Amino acid sequence: MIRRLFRRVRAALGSTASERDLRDELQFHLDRQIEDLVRDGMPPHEARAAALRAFGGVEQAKEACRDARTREIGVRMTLGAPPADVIRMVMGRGLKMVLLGIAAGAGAALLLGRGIEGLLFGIRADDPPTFLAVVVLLTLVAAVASYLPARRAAGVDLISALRQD
Amino acid sequence: MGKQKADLLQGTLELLVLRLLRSGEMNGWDIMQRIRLVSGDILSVTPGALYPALHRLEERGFVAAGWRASDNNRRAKFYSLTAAGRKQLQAERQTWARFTGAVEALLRDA
Repeated sequence: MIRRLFRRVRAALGSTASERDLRDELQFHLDRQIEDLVRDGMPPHEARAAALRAFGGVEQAKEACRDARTREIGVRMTLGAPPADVIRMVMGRGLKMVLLGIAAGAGAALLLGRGIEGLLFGIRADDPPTFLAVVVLLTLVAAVASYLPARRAAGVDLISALRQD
Repeated sequence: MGKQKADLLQGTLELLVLRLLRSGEMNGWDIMQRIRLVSGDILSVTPGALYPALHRLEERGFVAAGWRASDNNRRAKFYSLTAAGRKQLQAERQTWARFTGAVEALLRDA
C-alpha cells in the first residue's frame, strides 16, 4: 500500500518533470534549426520565424506528445466505447489518486490531532462529523476537478487522434 | 528539388526510428536529418510526428532516453535502443517484408 502510494506520487512528480523535459527537448531542436538557417546566411530573426514555421508550432508538438494518451482514448471510442465509459476511465484514474491521498491525510490528521487537543475548546481533535465533512468536501472538489478533463477527453476528435501516427 | 516527396505509411516511422537507433544513440534532430539524408530527400518527417513517436517508443520500453552534451556542446536528449526495442525492430521488419512482398506480388500478378 505504502509502496503503491509512493509509486503514484513519484509518477505524479515525474509527469511535471517530463513536461520540462519535453520543453527542453523541443527547444534544442528549434535552436539547431535556427543555427543551420543562420549558417546558410539567413538573418537571425528571420531564421527564428522560419524555424518556428517549419516546426508547425512548438505548442502543437507538445500537445501531440502530451496526448499520446489521446490515441488510446480515440481508439477506445472508435471501437464503440460510449463517452460515459471514457469519462469513467479518466475520472477513475484521477479519483483513485485522490482517495489514496485523503486516506493518508486522514490517518496523519488522526495521529497529529492529538498534539493540538489542548488548544481546542468544545470539540475533540477527532470529531467524527468534522472529519466526515472534510472528506466529503475534498472528494467533491476532486470529482469536479477530474470531471472537466474527462469530459474534454470524451470529446476527442476521433480522426485527429488516429491520424497522429 | 524536382523530386517528389512520398508520404510515410502508417507505422513506418517507428520502424525507421528503431532501425536508425540500432546504429547508435541519436537525438530527435539527428534522426530527422538522417531520415531526410538517407532517403535522398524523398522521406521527411515533421517534429510534430517524430517527437510523439519517440515518446511512445520510450513509454513502451523500446528506447531509452538520457540527456547529454551534443556535438555543438548543448544538452540534448539522446535516444538509444533497448533490448526490447531490438526485438521489436526484428518483428516490425518481418511485418514490413511480408507487407511489401504481398503488395509486390499483387502489382506483378494481379
